Amino acid sequence: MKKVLFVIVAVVALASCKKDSEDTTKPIINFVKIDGVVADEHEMNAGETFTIEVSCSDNESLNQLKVNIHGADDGHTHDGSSTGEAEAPNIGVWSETQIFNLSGTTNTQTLTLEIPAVVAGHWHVEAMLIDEQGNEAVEYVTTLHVLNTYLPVFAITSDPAIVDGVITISAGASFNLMGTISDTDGLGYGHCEIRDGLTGDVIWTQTMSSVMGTVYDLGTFLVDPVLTAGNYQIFLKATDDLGYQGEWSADLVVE
Amino acid sequence: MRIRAVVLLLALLSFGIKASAQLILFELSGSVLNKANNEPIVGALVATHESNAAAYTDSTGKFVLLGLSAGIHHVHVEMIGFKAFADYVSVGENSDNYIVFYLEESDIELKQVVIESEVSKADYIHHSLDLMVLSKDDLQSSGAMTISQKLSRLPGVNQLQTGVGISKPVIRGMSGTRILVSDLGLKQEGQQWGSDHGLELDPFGAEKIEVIKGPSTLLYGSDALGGVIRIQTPSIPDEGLSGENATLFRSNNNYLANSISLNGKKGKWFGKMRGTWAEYGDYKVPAKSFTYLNRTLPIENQRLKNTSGRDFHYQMTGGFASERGVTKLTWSHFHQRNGLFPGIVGVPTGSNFADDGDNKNVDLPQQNVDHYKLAINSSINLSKGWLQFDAGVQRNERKELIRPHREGYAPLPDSPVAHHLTLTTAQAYLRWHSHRIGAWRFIPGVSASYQMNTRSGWEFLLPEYHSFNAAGFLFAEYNDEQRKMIWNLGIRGDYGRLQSNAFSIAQYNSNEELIGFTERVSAVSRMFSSFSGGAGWSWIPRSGWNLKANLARSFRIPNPAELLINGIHHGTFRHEMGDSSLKNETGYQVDFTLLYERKNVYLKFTPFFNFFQNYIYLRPTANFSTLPDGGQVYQYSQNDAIFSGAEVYMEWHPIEKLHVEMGLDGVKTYTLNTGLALPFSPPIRTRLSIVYETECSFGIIKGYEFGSTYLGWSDQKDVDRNELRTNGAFTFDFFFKSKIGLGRQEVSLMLSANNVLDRYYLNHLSAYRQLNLPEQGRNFAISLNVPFNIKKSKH
Repeated sequence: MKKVLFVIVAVVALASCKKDSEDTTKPIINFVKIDGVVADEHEMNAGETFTIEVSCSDNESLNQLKVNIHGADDGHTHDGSSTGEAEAPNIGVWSETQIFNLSGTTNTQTLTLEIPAVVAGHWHVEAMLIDEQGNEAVEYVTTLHVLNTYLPVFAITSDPAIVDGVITISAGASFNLMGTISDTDGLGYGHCEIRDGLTGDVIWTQTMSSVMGTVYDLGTFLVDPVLTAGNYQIFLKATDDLGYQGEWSADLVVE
Repeated sequence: MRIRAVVLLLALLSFGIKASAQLILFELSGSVLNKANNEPIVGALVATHESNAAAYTDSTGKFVLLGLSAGIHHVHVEMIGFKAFADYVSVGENSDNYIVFYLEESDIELKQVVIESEVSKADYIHHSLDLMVLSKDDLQSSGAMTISQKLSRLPGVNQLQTGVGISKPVIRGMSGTRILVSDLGLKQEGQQWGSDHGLELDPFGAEKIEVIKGPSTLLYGSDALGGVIRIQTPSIPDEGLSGENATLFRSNNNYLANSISLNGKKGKWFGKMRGTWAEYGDYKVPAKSFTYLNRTLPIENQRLKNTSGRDFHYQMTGGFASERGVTKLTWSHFHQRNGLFPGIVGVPTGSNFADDGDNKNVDLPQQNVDHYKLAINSSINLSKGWLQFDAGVQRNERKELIRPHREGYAPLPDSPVAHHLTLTTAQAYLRWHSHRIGAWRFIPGVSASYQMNTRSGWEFLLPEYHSFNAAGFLFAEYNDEQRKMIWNLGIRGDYGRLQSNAFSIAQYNSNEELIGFTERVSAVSRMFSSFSGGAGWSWIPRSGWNLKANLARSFRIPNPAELLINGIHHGTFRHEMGDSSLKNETGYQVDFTLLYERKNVYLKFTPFFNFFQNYIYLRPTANFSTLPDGGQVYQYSQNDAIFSGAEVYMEWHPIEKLHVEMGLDGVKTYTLNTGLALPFSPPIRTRLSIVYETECSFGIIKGYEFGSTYLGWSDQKDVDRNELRTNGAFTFDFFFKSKIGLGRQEVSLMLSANNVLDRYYLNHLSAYRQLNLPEQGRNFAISLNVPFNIKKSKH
């Protein structure tokens, strides 16, 4: 009996020994500068070249930095929160990923990137950092708002009116879009499409006739798909004479 | 060596079958008396598991068991208010075929209910590992939403959860592929490697659950390294037609569930059916905001958006029972649709946290799980023992849905189904249970399983694979009656094969044109084999004392996910990567049980120490994923690890009607190369419950009980790299339970209040803990059980 108790005590005692020296301190991203400026949001123009400067430090040894640019038009954030609805979709696709191997306890990396001339909307610049032990820094995210003066400009209203970016109609009903599309390079063609809100499938399209000149007036543009209750998105797309395609969109709720 | 073992096994089996040709059956009669005064005990259950023979004692305490073959049978006796008792009784031509059992009075609830549905068919005293049982009453009255939640009241058992609807059991800090869940005699196979993958079982369906703490690979196979949760196969109902309707409501998330069952038996044929439906909304937390990465964010209306869900489940069993054996055929389907808090899916959520005006809708992101099962459970009586055969097929369909988004320059997916994994598993187990031969008892057995995984969906995680496993084992038990010691030992050999397909993913250039494919995982072909063994000991030095010790060398074949996974697992935020060169995980496990029992006291201390060689876990690497959305790579790696801890359990009746229960458990885990803890290690937990119970009746109330439970957790500061520490917390629960007589109809009612003080706390074992999201606030529950008899039996 005594022997058994001894074994029990020995086992419990053994279980409480532990190695203490392991480095579990997270590395730190000190700042992310866009064109030399630290800010949560930056405004830039399509076609522009800009620099991203990331300053990193660690108590022992840095290992990798990942800088990633991805579209933020779906309303996602990196802090477990989200400010509101998914915003107007980005025009064009742009994404960048670069991984840098680092060493030492401090390091600054600079990369120069060019924003494609055909995009507009907003993107996240995300910087992530790990040290040699695999300790991960708190990530650093800034938002880039990309303006594009080359693209067609939309000034659209609807009947029923757009409330907070949403047009609400009853099942089977039709509605009208009014307003103008303008582009100093001259407009080539345009169309309207409706997508399923969940799957993104295009379920209705209609070509706009006689889109030309620098300003195109929609007049009263009838949108008459037969929709069942649900969430949809409506898009107007127009392409200018230089081939730049612009977009306008709104959420469409069918009750 | 292996061939010889198989030949020996076949010889044993054929001996049994040959002998069955001349099966002659006997009766065993006797009486059950109170040890204190020799008074007969009326209504005690006397049963043997071999033949499924069971009888209740009559008004003079007498019983007759029919249809027993010659041999030594294990007979057990149970009666409320008495300590359960089991003994070996010789039946046959040269025996008396008559026995008198003496039962000791006890206030302790049926703690030693004879545990004989599990594989070793031993009662608690003969078992060398600690074993706990949740009876149907315990399961029904818990007011819990999931099986894991029901089990987590047991010392040493926790649950790993994602929200309130998805949860999986944790035994002594181990979960997933280290805990074997057995339902309908089959190992539950449902992508259990994922920490956010719940257990696909009906919370109302289980009649009895046994929890074995500690290494059980010998009898149950590779995944039973940390323990076993065994859900008893459907029992044979009483003659006639009966059923019950159970309803449960929980106020916090407007959880409403109803389960209806119908059981019938006519002569040798019987059937059982159960259907369960549940619906729940977003759950409320006692917080208006949460803090994540140094930012404070609102929780609109104090409800966690999109934590709602829907479940339904049905199960049908048909069977035949005679003196020669019992065969049951069961079909079941479990369906679950669960919303996930948008923040948990990481990049991107494409959703928002603002109140969407509907706290019951299940939006994206969500999980859809369907689990289908067809099983046959058969036991056949032979003259020297009996054969147990369990076989079945199950299919697990898991869909993880997120809002479609573009990855890099790839086109926008046309469906929200990011992952669709279909796992089909066929299993067969054959065991022969010998009657006692002198002081010895043997269980040889063989098992085989085949598994196939197919995939679709626009994200990639796990490739298609198929695997095959086969095993043989021999378990022996020696009863040293003179020294009141029981010894057991066993040996097992396993063989496994895995073959997976390569998978390539499409690549697009910045003009959004397909430029080719790159291989994400290559084809893998692996073979595994292992021998394991164990020895156990149980000693009754004097009445009321029991000391157990167990020593095992156990093993686990790496799970296909650990070998093959390569992709972003949204449920866990990170890029998870397998390693196709992983070796078997080997455990050297020792544990003890010290038990003291008196009429009004029950005390149990169960320390354990496990050393694992090549323990497989997801280790954060120092590298980033090259996938556009990927963060840090977490790779399945192997290191030596230690799990050690203990549980203390006490039950005390200072007066007969007052029931005081105390549980304390803790486990310390760490890997030897870093000294860091393993992720999701449970904190030290204390549970204290005080219950007053009386059979007094007034009006329609026929007996009632009420009580309070304190549940406390310590701080968890032993965390893995990049894992957050969690502060300790406590909650108080209250309950009132009663039987209500409405004419001839009796109804069970339970009212309970959980987290009465509406305490804010974080659960270290919750996926939402990473977002600093607290657990459910105050919760009132009402549970109503209405049993009914449509056609009563004649006796």
